[in-house]
Order: sequence, then C-alpha cells, then structure tokens
Amino acid sequence: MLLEINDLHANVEKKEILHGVSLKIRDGETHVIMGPNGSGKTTLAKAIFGHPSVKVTSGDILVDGKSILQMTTDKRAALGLFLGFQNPVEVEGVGFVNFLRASKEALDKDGYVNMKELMQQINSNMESLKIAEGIVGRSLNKGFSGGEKKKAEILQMAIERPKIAILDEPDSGLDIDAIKVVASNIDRIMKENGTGALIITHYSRILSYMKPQFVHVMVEGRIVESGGAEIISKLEKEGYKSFEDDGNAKQ
Amino acid sequence: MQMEQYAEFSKELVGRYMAAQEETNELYKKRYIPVGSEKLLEIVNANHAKPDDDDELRRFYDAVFKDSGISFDAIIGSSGNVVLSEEGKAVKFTDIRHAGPDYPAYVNSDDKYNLLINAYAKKDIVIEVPEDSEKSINLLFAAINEPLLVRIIINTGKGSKLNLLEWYATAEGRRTISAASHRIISGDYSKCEINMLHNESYDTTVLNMYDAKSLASSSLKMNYFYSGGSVTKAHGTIEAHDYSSSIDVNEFIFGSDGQKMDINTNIVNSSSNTTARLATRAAAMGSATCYLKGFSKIVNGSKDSRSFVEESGMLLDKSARIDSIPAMSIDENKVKATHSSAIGPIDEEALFYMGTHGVDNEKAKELLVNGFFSSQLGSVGNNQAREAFAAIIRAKMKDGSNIGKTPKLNSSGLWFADSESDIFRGHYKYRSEKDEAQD
Repeated sequence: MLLEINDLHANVEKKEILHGVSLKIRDGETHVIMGPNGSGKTTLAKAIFGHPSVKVTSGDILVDGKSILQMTTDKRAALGLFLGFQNPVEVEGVGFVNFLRASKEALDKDGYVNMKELMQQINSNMESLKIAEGIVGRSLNKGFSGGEKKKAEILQMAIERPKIAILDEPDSGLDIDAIKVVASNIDRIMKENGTGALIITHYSRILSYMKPQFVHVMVEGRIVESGGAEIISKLEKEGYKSFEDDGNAKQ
Repeated sequence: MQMEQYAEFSKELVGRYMAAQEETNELYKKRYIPVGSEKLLEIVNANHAKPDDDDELRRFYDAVFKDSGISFDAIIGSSGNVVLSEEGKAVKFTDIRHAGPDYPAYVNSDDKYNLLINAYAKKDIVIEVPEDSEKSINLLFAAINEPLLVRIIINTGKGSKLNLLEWYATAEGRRTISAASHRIISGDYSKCEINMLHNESYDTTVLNMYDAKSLASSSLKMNYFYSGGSVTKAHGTIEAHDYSSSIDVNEFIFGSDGQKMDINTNIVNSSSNTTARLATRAAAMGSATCYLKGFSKIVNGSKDSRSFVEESGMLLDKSARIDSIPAMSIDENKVKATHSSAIGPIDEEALFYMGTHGVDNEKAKELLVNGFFSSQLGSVGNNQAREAFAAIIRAKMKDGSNIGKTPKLNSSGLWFADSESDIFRGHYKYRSEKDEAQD
C-alpha cells in the first residue's frame, strides 16, 4: 500500500491549519512526525480519516493512486488504514470486546468472526502489552487509565492488522516502562503484518526503542524538514526553535 | 344492557373530566401531548368488523412466538377472549365491577383515561401470588379486530416472588387503542418484578395507567418499555408505602417515525426507611417527540428515606425532540434525594472513532444506542424483556417505520453493562472498602 499526501491544505473552523503538507508512506516503512504543540500533527491525522471538523480545501490524499477524499471514514479504514488516537473517546455501555468484534466483522471481507480465535488474539496481546484483565469486561475506554487507553489502542492495532497505521502520540502520558512496552509492541505488530506506520510524537524517548527510517519535522502546518534518524539528534540538541526559524525563512 | 348503560354513564364522566391532573400542573402544561376523549371514544365506538375469535388469537400468538421465541402463558384478546396454557390457569379473569368487596374500586376518578378503561374494559385480569410462593408469568395482550382495554390487578402475598412480562401488540392497518390500567400491591417481604413491553403497531394509541405500592420490607421493580404506537400516554404512581420497602422503576423509551410519547411517572416515599428510584432513558429519531416527567414525592414523616430521579435522553438526529422535566417535592428533612437530567445528541466523536475502526455510521449508531440503554437494561431481571427491547432497537434503527414489528430475538453478542446504576454510589451499601479507607 502507498499512502500519498499531496500539497494538503485543510481548515478547522475556517482557519487554515495545514498549509500544504506532502508525504509518502509505504507499508513496512516507519515514519515519524515531530513538532511542537499546535503544529497541525493531529489535524493531519484527522484529515487522513475525514474527520468532520477538518475541511480539506486543496491537495489530495491517495491510497495506491486513488483519491480517498470522498470516502467515508469507515471506507478509508477498510482500505487498511488505522488511526491510534491521542485521546480515545470513552463510550459507556459499549463493551470493549463487543466493539473489537464489531470492528473485526466490518473489516473482514467475509464479515464472520470466530469469537474463540478473537479472544485468543486479545488475550495474547493483552499479555504482551501488560494490560490488566479487567478491561475486557468494561465499556470501551471508559474508566481506563491513561496508560490503559494507549495500550488498548495498540491492542486494537494488533487485532485489525492494518497496512498503514497513523499513531497519534502513542507515548504521551506513559511512564518509562510503559513506553518501552508500547514501542516494542508497535514494532512487533508492524513486523508481523508488514504494517507501515506514521508515528506522531513530541518526544524522542519512544524512538530510542524503535528505528524509524524517515523523520519529518512539522511546524505551523508544514513539513519543514525530512530526513533520517539524524534529525532526532538535532532536535534533542536544539529543540524546535531552529526548525521554526527555518520554517519562517522558507515562508 | 348493563354494560351499555355503564358505558353511557362513563362517556358523560369522561367528558366532564377532560382536564387530567397533568393538564393542570403548571410544570407539565407546556410539555403535554393531548389525546382527546372524543377521538378515543370514536375509536372505541367505531363499527368493528367482528370480534376476535380464539383461532385468530392463536395465529397472532404463533406469529409473535415464531419471531420472539417467547412462550406466553395466556393470550388476552381485545374482544375479551382468552387463550390459556396450563401455566396460564394461575391467572384469574373476571369482571372486577361485579366481583364484590374483594376487589374494591381502584380507578382514579380524576383521570379520563382510567375512566375510559373502566367503562369499556371487556376483561379484567387478576394475578394473585400466594404467600411464600413463586411465579413467573408471560402474558400477551393482542388487539386484533377491536381496541384493547383491560384492567389488571396484581397482589403478591407475604414473602412471595413474582416475575411478570406483559407484552402488548396490535394488528396493523386499523386505528385502535391499547389501554391498560393496573393496580399493583406488592405484599410484605415480597419481591416483585413487572415488565410491560409496548410494541404496538403505528395505528395504535397507547395508554398505560397504573397505581402501585410496595408494603413493608418488600421490593417492587417496574420496568416499562415504550417503543410502539403513534401516541403513548403513560402516567401513574408507584409508592414505597410501608417501612423499609423499596421501589425501583426503569423506563426505556425509543421513539421514531413521528411517534409521540408523554410519560409521567410519580414515585412516592410514604414511610420511613424507604427507597424510591426512577431511572428513565429515552432515545429518539425521525421527528419523534418524548416528554419525560418524573416526579418524586417524599411524604412528611418518611424519615431516613432515599429518593432518586434520573432522566437521560439521546437524540439521534436534529428532527427528534426529548424534553426532560424531573421534579421533587420533599416534605421531610431527614432524607437523601437527588434528581438529574441529561439530554444530548449522539456523540459525533464516538461515531468518528468507530468509523476509524471500520464500523459504518449505521452500525456505530446502533452500538451507541445499545450502549446508552445497556447499563440500565442490565438491571432488568427478565432476560426476555431486555433482549426483546434490544432487538426492537435494532429493528427500528434499521428502519424507523419498523414500529410494532415483532423482533427476532438474537442475543448473541449482546452486551449489557454493569447492572448497578452509579446514582447510588454514595450510599454506604455500595461503597467499597477502599472508599471507606479513603474517608
């Protein structure tokens, strides 16, 4: 799968947030987008999935050469795209496993889910992610701790086996041990399924457990720098300030 | 002849009492769905093709049974005929008006709908559960060729247990009425759960009236499911009457396709150390209108009592309307009482979240509506009632005009959340050791 974002401009509440973003992500590749608060990283993730609050004004998003802009969110997911949320929504009354089943039924071509197999997958991934058993019997994300929510997103990624996953701050709010667990599991799931990933993050800590091939810096709705892991070292030394200056110079 | 005279007399009364209690209550005046007596009398007095016969009743039952899988102990037809199973023989059918002093008049004469039912009811139903015995009864009420008007008396003896399901259905294609008037007394130390499921066709005006009380140390649970008919009027009073008794009222309302539902429920604490709880959940779509009017009264002298009213609504589209008016009147100081109301549109973020996991809008809405009702459905002890309602939701979500269709019960994958509502969380009975330690 090839996900292409071409010169994407998008508004939120009539204010332009993305000012021409271009990216290419193939399955199996690991991309990272880093950027300061308010740089448009989450808006980009939402735009890829057609969030109703994000209006694409120009540019295009293509999967294997075909525009997905007119597709509904569920149809985009059915292509093999996955979004791991920064703040997953809490839904009272919808059971976590029930939701995983509904999701699996929707994504599987024949629409049939073997519950025994699904439970085995859930249990083995819960063990790997060090998730407490209790969440299986609870409502979707309801009452989950910050760490449980992040891990539950990765658990869903493992079950859905996407071709390309957009992970919006999978590390925020996690302690050091949990970051390690989440990073190693993302890595494992990607290798098992040949999944490509676009990891959105503020911090470099999670990247010390993963090996991204491509690192992009996003400032004020633009990709101002793209390259390899060396950018992470530069960021650690200089912060975003130098990139912000670059961005202004490019404007 | 006697019946005709009675009817004439009552027609006059019905006209005189045009203004029902809720029409004169300032709080409810603006949120009121009128159903004129003239319209009801017109339907009652219309020339009905023929009375139901037993074969028709059996065919009706077969159709409901085929889809729902629920076997009923008795089928009560609108023409006054009854088909019984062996178990159904535990239910008495009589005319309360001529039954003598054992069944005193119970109809609230201020209420025009009760008067109508009193005047035209062709069959009265008496369910009595002897002391220390246990009964589980399923009744199917069917309006086929004529309007259904029934009066129901339920008395449970000391220490007894009752689980009752009343399923109301009407044949399609004829303007009709499905009306029931209940008087319920839950005896000392008894445990009683009554489920009333209204799944009438769209041509039906639904009237559900009741007057219930729980005696000393008894527990009375009333579960109302409203999903059928074009107009539903429901009102009544449920009273924790004697020391240490409890009443637990759950209302489930799902309106679609222009349905109008006006639900006025009064809960009363009349004695000390009593608990009264009313929890109402309503979802509406397709220009449906729902008025939720839960009222709690704590009578002077009802010390150490608890009363909770909780109303919540979910709007599935912009054309639907839910108005919630919870209210309380407290005449005793030493009590705990809360009321709450929350109504909002379906969560767009949740729909988006589900969409990113491949779940389309229709299925996501169904999951969210099921989830909305789920925690409260978990407190319904009668599996058939709660699964039937969940199935009705599924059918109506697919097509809002699926009103009154018997749902196919298929509970696989159905998930009911924790049965306990969190409104009692602060009460010592529901506090964990950890909470106590923190204090």
